[in-house]
Amino acid sequence: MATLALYELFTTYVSVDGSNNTLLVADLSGNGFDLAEGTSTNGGVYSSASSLFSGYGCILMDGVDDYLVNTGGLANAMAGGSDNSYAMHMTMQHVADGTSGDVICGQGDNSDNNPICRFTEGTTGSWTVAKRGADTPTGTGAGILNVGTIGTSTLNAEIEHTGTAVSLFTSTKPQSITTVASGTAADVNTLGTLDNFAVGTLLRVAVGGFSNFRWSYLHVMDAVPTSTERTQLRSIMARYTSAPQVIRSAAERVRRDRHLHAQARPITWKKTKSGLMVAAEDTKIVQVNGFRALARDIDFALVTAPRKKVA
Amino acid sequence: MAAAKKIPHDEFKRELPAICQKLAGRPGCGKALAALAKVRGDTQDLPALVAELMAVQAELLASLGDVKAHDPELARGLSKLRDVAVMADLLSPEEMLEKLEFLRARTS
Repeated sequence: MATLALYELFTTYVSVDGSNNTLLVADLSGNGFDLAEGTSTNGGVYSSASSLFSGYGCILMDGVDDYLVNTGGLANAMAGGSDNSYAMHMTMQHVADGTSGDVICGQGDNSDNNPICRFTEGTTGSWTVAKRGADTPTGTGAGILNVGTIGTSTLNAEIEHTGTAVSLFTSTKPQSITTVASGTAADVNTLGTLDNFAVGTLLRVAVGGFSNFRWSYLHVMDAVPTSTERTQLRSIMARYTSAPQVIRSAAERVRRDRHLHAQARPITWKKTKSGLMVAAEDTKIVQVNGFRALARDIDFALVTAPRKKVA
Repeated sequence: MAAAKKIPHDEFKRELPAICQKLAGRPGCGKALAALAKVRGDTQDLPALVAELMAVQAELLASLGDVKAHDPELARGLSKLRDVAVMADLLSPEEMLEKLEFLRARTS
């Protein structure tokens, strides 16, 4: 498994204009698949802290003309070609039901309406995860079509695509996973080349299918996660959909964020009798005693050395 | 793009003029109204509707910013109508009618 793209909406990683319209969301994977506003002032409105996502930042896509897009190869790396496996994990809140074919995340081609790959609000608030091959002129595509109910609660959506079959799981807590669909056939000849990875719509020859939702976390992988990886990812997403945790110490904050997928950055520190004194100069990811953490969370903190290193 | 699927064109023949009429009195809707006026004629079936909407979809998108500033809910409805044009190959006739219904609810 490899992470293709990771978006966590901390202030440091989201650029906005004076009205909090999102200009750019940085990709934390190191692959450079940043998301840019689709058109001027239409990248969605950013909130740095949202009670809907346990205090984490989120972006509201308005369902009118808001979208974010990567045209630098993410779509093709994720799903292009024949039977390419991928996974996508998103923490989101669907805002408004009432119409269909609204694309939460879509991949399309610049010069043709095919191929496409889409994660969509289906008929009146149901789920659709489908793709259509380069040689298929019309139709809804193969995959999960209009299954289950999205609702308007904050939730985690997990898409696992083996290349020929797709599964969709949702959860509000890691211990209560809902299987919307499992192993649904989604086999097409080839998806050819996909140019655009869009959040909030489907961008192909013309842009359309805008969806009204908020999102706070998005992780794109080039393969279906292993069981262990799935557990870790659910643990990460649970932070966004659970009640805010009371963090009693800096060490606990470090442990809480130890699974963050991001590049570690050097920090200044010194050893004391009680542990490590850590000084973070910015709000980048840091690594302390084998743990990865947000420097913003620990700032200048006394970190007690753990008795046992946690992987 | 659009197959030879038929949609209940009476819905569109009846609703589009009515929607245009309602848009006429709303701030920020001038450009959207002008664009929609071009497709309110004798829309008989899906390919014809899609072709007409495709012809004005860029104008509709451009006008949404103005409408959104005055009435975000109405802008969302107009966006759904525009989606009929650009998503026609993915939507069933029933789903297209849902989008029309969405717009109708926001202009009532």
